[in-house]
This record gives sequence, C-alpha cells and structure tokens, in this order.
Amino acid sequence: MRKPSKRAGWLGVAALSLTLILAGCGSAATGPSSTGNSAGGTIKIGAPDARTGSLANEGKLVHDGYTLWQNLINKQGGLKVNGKKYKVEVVFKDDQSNPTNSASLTEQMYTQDGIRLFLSPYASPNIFSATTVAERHKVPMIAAGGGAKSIFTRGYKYVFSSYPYSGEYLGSVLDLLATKGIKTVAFLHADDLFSQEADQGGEAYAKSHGFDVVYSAQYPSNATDLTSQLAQIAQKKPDALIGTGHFQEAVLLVKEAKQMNVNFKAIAFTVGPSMPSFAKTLGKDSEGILGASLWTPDLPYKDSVFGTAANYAKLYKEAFGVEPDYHSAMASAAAEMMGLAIEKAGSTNPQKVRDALANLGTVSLFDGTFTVEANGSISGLKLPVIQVQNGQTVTVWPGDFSKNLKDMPLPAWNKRQ
Amino acid sequence: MKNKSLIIAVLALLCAFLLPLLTNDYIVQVATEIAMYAALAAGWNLIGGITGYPSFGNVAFFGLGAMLAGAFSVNWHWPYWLAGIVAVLLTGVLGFILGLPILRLKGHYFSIATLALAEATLAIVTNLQFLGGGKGTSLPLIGSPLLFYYIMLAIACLSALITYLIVHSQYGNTLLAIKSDESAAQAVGINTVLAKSTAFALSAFLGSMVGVVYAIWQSYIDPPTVFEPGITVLMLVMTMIGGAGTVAGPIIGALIIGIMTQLAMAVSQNASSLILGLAIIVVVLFLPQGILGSHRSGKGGKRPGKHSFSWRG
Repeated sequence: MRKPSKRAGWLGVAALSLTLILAGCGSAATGPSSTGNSAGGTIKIGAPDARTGSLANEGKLVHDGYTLWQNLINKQGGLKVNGKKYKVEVVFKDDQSNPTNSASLTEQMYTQDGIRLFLSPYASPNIFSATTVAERHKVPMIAAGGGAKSIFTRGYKYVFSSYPYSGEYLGSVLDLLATKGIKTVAFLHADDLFSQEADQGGEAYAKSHGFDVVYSAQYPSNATDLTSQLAQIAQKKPDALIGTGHFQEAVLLVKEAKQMNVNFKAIAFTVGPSMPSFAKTLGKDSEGILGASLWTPDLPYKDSVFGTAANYAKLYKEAFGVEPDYHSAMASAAAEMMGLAIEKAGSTNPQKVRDALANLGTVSLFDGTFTVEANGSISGLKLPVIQVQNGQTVTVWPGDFSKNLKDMPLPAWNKRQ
Repeated sequence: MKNKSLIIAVLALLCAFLLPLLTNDYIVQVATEIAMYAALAAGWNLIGGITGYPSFGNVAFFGLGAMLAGAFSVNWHWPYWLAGIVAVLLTGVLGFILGLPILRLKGHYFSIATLALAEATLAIVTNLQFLGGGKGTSLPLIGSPLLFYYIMLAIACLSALITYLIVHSQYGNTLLAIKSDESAAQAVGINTVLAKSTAFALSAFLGSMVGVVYAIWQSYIDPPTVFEPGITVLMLVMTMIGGAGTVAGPIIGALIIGIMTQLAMAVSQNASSLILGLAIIVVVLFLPQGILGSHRSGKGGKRPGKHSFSWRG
C-alpha cells in the first residue's frame, strides 16, 4: 500500500502549529494569575453560570441574585477588609448548563484570571463538578442552586452552601399537614437527583412524625402520563398527595387527578405552585394546592445588607422588573455569606476566607437564621410553605402564617367553582 | 518517505507530551478535553468513517463505561482500575451483540436506530438503582490534572494506533470493501456481519475506555451528562472536519474544534456556540471531504470509498 507521506507531512505541520498555538495561549495567559484577588481595590469572585442551555431560566435567577448583592455592596461603599473598603465584582462565565464546562470554567478563572473565591453555578450536577476543581485548588466555593446531600458527604473542605439539604424541603409541608389532621400520604417522585433526595427525605420525615405512607413510586422525568400511578393511589385512598418532580409533571398530575376524579384533602408539590404559570395553566384547579418553598418575601427576617425580606423583594423588582423567586434570594444569601466571611477573615486569602466560612456559626440573614455545619452545609433554616389562592401564592407556613390557610380539606374537583 | 511521516508523528507526540511544561492547569484541562474527544472521534471513525456506518449513538458506550465503572467501584468497592477494565470489556461485548441486529440497517435507518439506542440506554441507566439511577454517582477525588491529561493522551494514541493498524491490514480492506459496496463484498465471500460488528465493538471499546477515565477525572457523573447526544455530534463533526476514514483525521478535527471552541469563547461568552456552529457550517460547506480528504483529492484525485465520507451506507 502506498504511503500517503505528503498528506502525513502536511497534517504533522498542522498538528504541530496547533499545539504551539495552544501552548502560546497558555503561556500568554499565565501573567495575570499572580496579581491576586484584590488587585485595583476590587475583590473578584468567580461564578460559572447557566446563561444558556437547559438551565437558563434558573440560571438567570441565580445570576440576578448574585448581581443584586454585588450592586448593593458597591453602592454601600464595598466590603470592609481590615478597615479599608473594597468594591466587589462577580465574574460570570457561561457554562451552557453543562457540568463539564462548569469545571473547566472554574479552572480557567482560577488559573488565568487569578480568582480565588467562588460562587457556584446552578443545579447539583454542575455544583458537583465545579466544586471538585475548587477543592483541588483549595479555594472556597459557596453553592447556591443545589441541595443534594451527596455534595457535602464527600469530605470536601472548601464547599459551602446557602441551601438546606433537598431532603428537608418537605418537612414544613408535613408539619403543616399534621396540624390539619392528615394521617395518610402518598408520595410520587421523578427520577432525577433533586426529586429523589427530596422525596426520600420527605418520606423519612413523614414516617418519623406519625404519618402513614401508603404509597410511594418513582416515574421517569418528563413523564407524559401518570394515570396508572394515580389509579393505584386512588385505591389506597390517602388523605394527601405529595409530588416531587418538575413543573409539567405537577400540572399533569392535577389535570389527570381531576379527569379521574381522584380527590385528596391536600395536594403539595416541591416544584410548580410557586411559579405564576402554574395558576395560569390550571385555573381554578390550582386553588388550594400547597408548594414547598425556601423563601418568600413575607418572611419576618432581615439583615444589614438587604434589610427585610420585603425590602429584598422591592430592591430586586427595581433592578430586574420582576418579583424575586427563592432561587434568586438563596443566591443573594450565598453571596452575602461570602461577603461576611471576607469581612470576618479581614482578608481575601482563600484559606482564611474558607476558615471564616467554616466558623461562621449561626447567622441571621434576610432569608432566615441558619447554622453552618462542619461539612459546609447549613441547618436550621425554617422553610415556608405557600398556597395558591385566587391565582396568587400566599405564605401559609411557618407559625402565624397558618391563619392564611384556606381550602383545607380541598374541595372535590367537581365542586370547584 | 515513510520515515518522514513517522518523524512528524513522533514530533507531534513529543509536543503533546511536553505541553504541560509550557502552560498552566487550565490549558492542561483544555488539552485533556481535546485528547478525550480525539479518542472518542477516533473510536467513532472506526464504524462511521472506515466502515461507512454513521452512528449517532456512540455516546451510549461512553456513558455506559462511565456509569458501569462508577457503579462497580461505589457499590461493590472494587478498585477503580478493575472496575474500569470490567466496564470496558462489558461495553465492548455489548457493542458486538448490539451490532449484530443494528448493523443490518443501512444509511439513515442505521443512524436513526443508533440514535434510539443511545436514548434507550439513557432511559434504562436512569432507572437502574445499581447504576446510581438519576442521582448519579460521586467518586473520590483522586489523581492530578496532569495524570488525567497523560491518560487521555495515551488513550488517544492507542485509538490512533488501532486505526492505523486496521487501515493497513487485511481487516481494513474488508471494511473498505463493505463501505464501497457491501453486496459485492458479501458476494465474494466476506463475512460482513462479523466484520461490521467487530468494528462496532472496537468503537464501543474505545468510547467506553474514555468514559471510564472521564468519570474518575470529573469525580461526579450523572446520566444526562454522560449520555448527552451532543457528545456523539462532536465525535461525528470532528471526524468529518479532519477527514473521515483517515488515521489522523479525528485527531486533527478534535484539535481544530477544541481550539475553535476556546477562541469562540474568548470572543464572546454568549455567542460562542453560534460562532462555533457557523465555523462548522463553513468547514463542511467548503471542505466536504474533511481537511485531509480535500488535500488528497487536490493532489492525486479522489478515491471514493477510502478517504471520502459516504452516507450511502
């Protein structure tokens, strides 16, 4: 066989030159990495974010949450580090919702941009991969956008969070149901990481708090038919249905339960009711449905940066033209934790900031009071529950908010008007 | 003449080997991704380029390798190297078995079947608790970025070597005959089913090997990430840009796409996919045979079936 030597030569030259270009890019870019974090009086904080791709909706909420904190801190003069005020800049890079990109962008910001402090991208898989890079380089990353417990059980020392574990999302809902005499519950959940953890946590909580879990099943994400599951649930006649999945599956469950005339005293979802389109899509059938939430503007908490929760909502609306959702509030809280830690450390040295984060102890922010645990997660946050009433979401838990509760037990589907 | 191409290959390898000395961790990470895609594209080239069966489902093997190795090491506490070897072998065997029925289809029908194969694998893996289900698998943080760069580089070299050996062997001629005219190949007594399935199995073997290393490199994997259809598309695009059916084509393609991605991201964060997409369209329009293919036809005339990419199946 004739050897294609000319071709091989050409390709060799091409490969060589490309390799050299690549090497060139690298060496040219090594320059700024030594300049450090607080060059020019600005503290840079890196954040891979889902500007594009399948997570772009939630990605924008997180992006806006970080941005609101940055703008507000700068308006207030900056972060006070050792008596001197520094402006902050959150540097965003689009990971296109792809976890592999989250990791390589974190690496890029560390190596080429000299950034040593990080806020996380949105969604647990992206947090998983981005935090591995932070851990390798021993720089702190605060996660805002994923509460998977397994993020914190890896023994990492440089990952922190503003989110409670996904498994705790349903605790408040169950507490509320217990006060209304609900005894038997059916659980139905999607097969993704968040839904599985939220459901398992919810079921464990229910069992340990005297509920009878009469049904539990998993369905594939983006399911388009859940009638067979509903038929099985109907036979068990549970008081309440708790669905953990995504927006379209929550809508589907309500529609199919109505068609099959399967009635419950209460229905609750982790995802769905808090979004305005839920009430819009389902109309009167959405009335009275409960939703697990992490934050609402009604909560009675406050801090020195944002003021009250209501004031946070006002500032957010002024900046971005829409009401904040809990994703934004939790992202702002994560950024605020970073600011607290920098001020407490009196330094932007990543090791000192990491130690300050680990020793934050119990803090009170506009999203509530919580304690930073040894593994970087947080505990103690009291989660609110919302209910759809007249097409709006109303806070009905914790504490006194329960007086806002309506439609318990829920009216039958055919008695709604 | 033969020495010249050997010298250039050795020089290129030397450059790749010494790259980490000249650069920083980020460039090493980018280079690791490029080596990874070079290996994946070379694996795709075996079935899509050399045999002429354009598979749209090769990501299934990548994903299976990653998820199986993760599951063996987490659930059964196997050392990772053992989990990886078993995962690669299993995926290779699976590729052979799946190849037997699927490779009866030709052209677009084959492509659609492989697309469905990848989606079905994703659905099955997502619902198997042993494989971590939709929750994914978290692996310990071991090794250094440099180590993973050299492992990926080694797999890319292995892929190129396997391709080289096949192209210059009797088996390569068999695959070439199948690509040029399968009925004729069958008529002269070639066991086309065996030959095609072996190529598919080798393709699965290489894809799975990359998946195994990817999983421990990233330390967290979940089904939607490792079964992302875009990974197959990249394998295909890289091979076509470099030159389907050639030894160096997939590697050149991976280098070009990898560097273009970085340049596009440097130009604009938001429009990087758009820029990259446009660049791919331009290359495909003006270099339909790939870079090596077009160079060849300009010099010595076309040899359809060997260096051109055919969709006829």
